Formats: sequence, C-alpha cells, structure tokens
Amino acid sequence: MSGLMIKDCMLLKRQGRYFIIVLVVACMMAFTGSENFSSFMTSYLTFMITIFSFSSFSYDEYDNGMAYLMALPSGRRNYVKAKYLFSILLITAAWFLGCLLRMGLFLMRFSAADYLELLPTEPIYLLVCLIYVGGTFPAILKYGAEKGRNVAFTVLAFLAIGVFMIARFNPRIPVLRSVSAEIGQCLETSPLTVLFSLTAVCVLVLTVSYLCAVRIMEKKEF
Amino acid sequence: MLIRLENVEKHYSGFRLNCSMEVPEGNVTALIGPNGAGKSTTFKAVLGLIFPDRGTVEVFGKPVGQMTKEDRERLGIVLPNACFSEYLCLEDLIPIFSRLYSRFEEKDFLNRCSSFGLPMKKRIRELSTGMKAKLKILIAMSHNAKLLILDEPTAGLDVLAREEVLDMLREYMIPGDRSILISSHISTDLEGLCDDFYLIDNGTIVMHEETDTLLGNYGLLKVTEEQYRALDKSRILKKKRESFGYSLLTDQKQYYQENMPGIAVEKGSIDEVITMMVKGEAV
Repeated sequence: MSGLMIKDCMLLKRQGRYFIIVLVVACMMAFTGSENFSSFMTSYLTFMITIFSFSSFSYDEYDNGMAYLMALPSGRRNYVKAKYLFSILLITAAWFLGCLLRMGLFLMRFSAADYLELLPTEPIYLLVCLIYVGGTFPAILKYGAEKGRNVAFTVLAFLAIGVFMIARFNPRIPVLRSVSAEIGQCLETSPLTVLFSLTAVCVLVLTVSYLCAVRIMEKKEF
Repeated sequence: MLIRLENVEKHYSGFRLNCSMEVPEGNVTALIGPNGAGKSTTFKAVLGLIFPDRGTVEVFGKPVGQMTKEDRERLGIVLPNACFSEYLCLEDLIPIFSRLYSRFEEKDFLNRCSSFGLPMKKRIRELSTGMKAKLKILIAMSHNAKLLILDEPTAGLDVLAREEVLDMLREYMIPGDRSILISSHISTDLEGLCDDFYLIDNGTIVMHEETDTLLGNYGLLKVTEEQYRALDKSRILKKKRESFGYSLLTDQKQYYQENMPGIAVEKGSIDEVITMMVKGEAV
C-alpha cells in the first residue's frame, strides 16, 4: 500500500507548478480582499487539493494504467485504502497550511481576539471537502475519473439544491425549515455543536464510502 | 504447474472465450493467434483482472482469486499499452518498486536501464515506443519473479532491441525453475524462445504443440488439383485454395517427402501454421 501512496506523492511532486499557481492565487486574493476574504485562503487551498485527489485517478487510468495497477502485489483493496488515506492526509495538510496562512494574514490586519472567534469555523472547510471526497470516490471508481466526477458532482449538487428548495419554498415540510433555521442559529451561537455534528457526518460518510469503494473495486473488471 | 486454466469461459457481447491451457515450471509457453482471438482476455483471466463465468484459473497451484501479496510478488507483468502513470519519471519508479516488491533489485534495474539507454530524468510519456517497451520488460524482470506474464512485450521494438530483449528472457530462464507465458505478433521471436505454443482463434484453443515438433514435423504441401485428388489426405490438417491448386498443412511432412517425392513440401513456420489453422478449411 505504501508503494501506491508513494506513487501518488511522486505525481504530486511532478505537479509542483500547479500547486505554486494555486498558492500564489490564494495569497493574491487574500491580500487584496476584505476582512472576510482571508477565509478564501483556507477554503480555496483545501478545495484545490481535493480536486487534485480526484485527478490522481485520471493519472492512474491514463493509457490503461488501472489494469496494470490492479495486477501489482498491492491488490484492489489496498489500492482503495491507499487512495483514501493519501487523500485524507493530503487534504488535511493543505487545510492546515491554509489555516496557518490565513492566521498570518488575519493577524497582520486584525486582533488575535477576532481570530479566536472565527477559529471554530475553520475545520468546516476540511470536513466539507472530506465529505465531498466520500461522495465522489466510489463514483469515480465505478464510472471512471471523468464520468465519476461529473456523476458525483451532479448528484451532490441536485441533493443540495433539492434540500434547499424544499426547505425554502415548501411550507408543508416545516421540519426541514426548522432544521435549516436551527443550523443557521447554531452556527452563530454554538459553532462547536455544528462542528462535532459535521465531524460525525464526515466519519460516517467516509466509512460508508470506503466500504462501497472496496466493494466496487472487488467486483470491477479491467 | 505454474499456470493452469481449465475450461475457462468468459462471455462478452459477440465474443466467447473457452480456454484450457497449462504452463509448467521451466517452460516458455506462447499464446498465439490473430487479433481479437482472445489472447489478452486469457492474460487478464490469469492475472485476475476479469472474472470467468465458468472454469478455474490457477496460478502457483492456487485459484487466482486466492493469490496472496507474496504470490503476486513472484509475478512479472507486461501488458500492452499499460504501465505506471506516464507522468512519472523513471527515477520516481525506484522508491515505488522498492515498496511494492520486497525483492526489488535496484542496482540491477539501474544498470539495465543505463545499458538500454533509458534516461532516468525523463517522464515515461516522453520516451519512444521502443524505450517504453524496454522499460516494461525491465520492470517485469526487476524483482526476481518466478513467472513472467508478457502480453506483446516486443511490440514497438526494432530488430536489435528485440534481440536484446529476447537474450534477456533467455538469460532469465537459466535457473530452470522459472516460466514465461508470452504472446507476440512477431513469430520469429517466439520460434527461437518458446518451448510450446497454444494457438487461439475466436476464443478457443485450436492447437497445442511443442516448438520442436511444429518446426520439425509441420509442413506446407503445394499441390495441383490433380495431385490433390490423388493425395493420401489422412495426415492433412487444413487446406487452402490457391491459384495453382491447394496449400495443405500437415503435421507429418516427412511422410509426404518420403512417399510422394513429386510434391513440393515447405518447412512449417508459426505464421504459416496460424494462417492455415485460422483461415484454412477442414479436409
């Protein structure tokens, strides 16, 4: 499994220019933006690395590469394990870097007390990206990198829009409206509650996603 | 037996594989046949990349689905148009293979890359077709594998490079307990390397013969219409209509050379056997 993770690290290294551009754009936006814009640093970096974790499947698929990878000693289950582990570590590292940079930029312009207020919201970017990974990886493994990414994005987008529309416009489902209002209120009054709930959802999504991904790979033909 | 396929069936739309074959220890076995005959499907079944509908596939004496990591480490693989991500450089492969294979011979791999003129700093995608083919074979042989499974390993190589690769494969077989399952479109490569052949056509094994038998006993008879009518056809396998009369494939050319000296008998080659077995008619 470690061999496959090293392979992804090597691919990451070969994309160095891409990450420098991502970092430069993030810094430019954060420096030139308003107070709230420094949050762009964390969210943007985390999201861009999440996108890279998706594209690492494209590199594997290129030129019939998946068949070769699946014939290696590491096997199918370890391939899935390596992908999840590598992506979680990578996205977390990017998020952490984003947090540090954001902190630096924020403290250059505002007080530490202000920063402490927004600190609990930082992990939300990481958790949302990891949930996105959990929703997307099985689709990529099932349908291939390009199609799978689109399928997952479409499903998640429709899901989000659907929930929003129902909650916003359907007065016959007051539960959703009250849940939505509750979350909004919670974010302001008790962000830690939202954080813990989101962490639980993230762990659940990733676990179910991993089990589905293993099942998909064990049944897939190359 | 290092590989054993017994009544392996796999159905696709418009294609059905039905294959039984064996690769014993110490043997170089070739799987030959026209494009689309089922060679790659058979290789995939051996590697566990597809799941047969029926039959059993055994590698190292156990079902392919039950192979352990250690078993897979004893395999060296070349698949057509498939390798590690082409965005990687050759030098990137070293730490990857060191982790994937416990018996990866780094020094030997580097020496061989150097002797083949493979640049370590270049991305795989920037290599020529011939260089990629060499790299794939070097990778397959880099970890002291007991069994090489080589699907079209010499595709894209020029004559000199092919000879180098074939010499490497001969050298690889010296210990005596190793085996190779190989397919190639270049039959001359196989004639000088393989111990036996399986000919597959339309998903079915239509012939299994040892190389010495094939090259020594098989022959092509060129006969006119009259000669054909008078011929003892009991030792003819296939016939094909020609402008002069018939080409006939026999597995006992000596019989015809001794008993019918007026008939032109040509030495059999793998290409001719494939052509006759696939395109010829039954007698």
